[in-house]
Amino acid sequence: MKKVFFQSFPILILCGFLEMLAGFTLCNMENFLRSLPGLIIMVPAMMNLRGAINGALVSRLGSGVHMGVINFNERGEMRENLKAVLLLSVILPALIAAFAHIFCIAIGFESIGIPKLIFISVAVGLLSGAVLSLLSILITYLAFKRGIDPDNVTSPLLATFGDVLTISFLFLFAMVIA
Amino acid sequence: MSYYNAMKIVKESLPVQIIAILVCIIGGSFLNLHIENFLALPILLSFIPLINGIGGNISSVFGARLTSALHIGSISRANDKELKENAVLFLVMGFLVFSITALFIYLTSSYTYETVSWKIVLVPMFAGTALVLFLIPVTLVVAFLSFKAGIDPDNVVMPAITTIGDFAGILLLLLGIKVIGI
Repeated sequence: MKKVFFQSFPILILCGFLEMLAGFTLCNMENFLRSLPGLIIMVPAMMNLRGAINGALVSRLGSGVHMGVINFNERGEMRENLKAVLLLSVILPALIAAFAHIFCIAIGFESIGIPKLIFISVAVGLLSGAVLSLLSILITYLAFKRGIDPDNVTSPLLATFGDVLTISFLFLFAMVIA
Repeated sequence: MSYYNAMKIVKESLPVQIIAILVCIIGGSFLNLHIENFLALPILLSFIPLINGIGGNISSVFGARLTSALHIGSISRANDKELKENAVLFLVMGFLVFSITALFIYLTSSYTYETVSWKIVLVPMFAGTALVLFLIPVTLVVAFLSFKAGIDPDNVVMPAITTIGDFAGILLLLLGIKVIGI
């Protein structure tokens, strides 16, 4: 029990403070949320996406390294994994933008329109996906080298970095559009 | 012949991800319905990543430990004593993390946001703790079911739990705002 607590609690607190950074950024997006109606609908889905795409990447990398099909000197398997992440990082954000627009219209809200929503979501998805993939490889490499169980440490940390990156890029591209 | 194939990964991921997106978009629509509450008091916006992020972290760490234990065979029944202890421990940790971060947000709010009532601290404490209380049994059920069905937890269990968590987190945040009367 004590061991579980001391392994998990520091990570959870660290993630809590990082999420506060994401929260602080979202707080400062107040004006964009006002001037870009429809943007808020995408926020939960965009944050969920990062955890889902890159969380799955990390667990594949972890399993792949354990099984010996991925090693850090041979690029082929790694390339396929990264290609999948980037493809998903374009397809899924585009779907998010389309659904967000449809839901906006369906419940009688304003929307800034599909092209602008797609521009924001795909740009945010691709950029945060690329940065986070590099971080995923680095963290898996370090965790594996030091014999740390990725389940307890890397997944929560990456999901949290994902939220911070997503909200930061969302801020950036909302600024570009506004 | 390589082990991983980009198109295969994309194809396998799409169905689960599209369901997750739809659920999250519905969650986002609830936020949109109450957008005026958030714009009137932007500090409330900062609770969205906090509650969803920490809720997701706690349930995914708990879920990952649980599925590993099921695989090793150290836990086989839902009323296992160690499992109960773990569940309580994660609930307590959730309460602590939400309380500490909420207090920190409140204490620093006078520098960064407009002045707010101390009651704002209660919102993430209520919503976050209620979320963990809800997610622990959900994680248990999903993990046991998927283990029985022989589904790889990495690809299905975790996305399912974090998506359920994101949706419930938004509803509980809105409920917290209403109940506490912010």
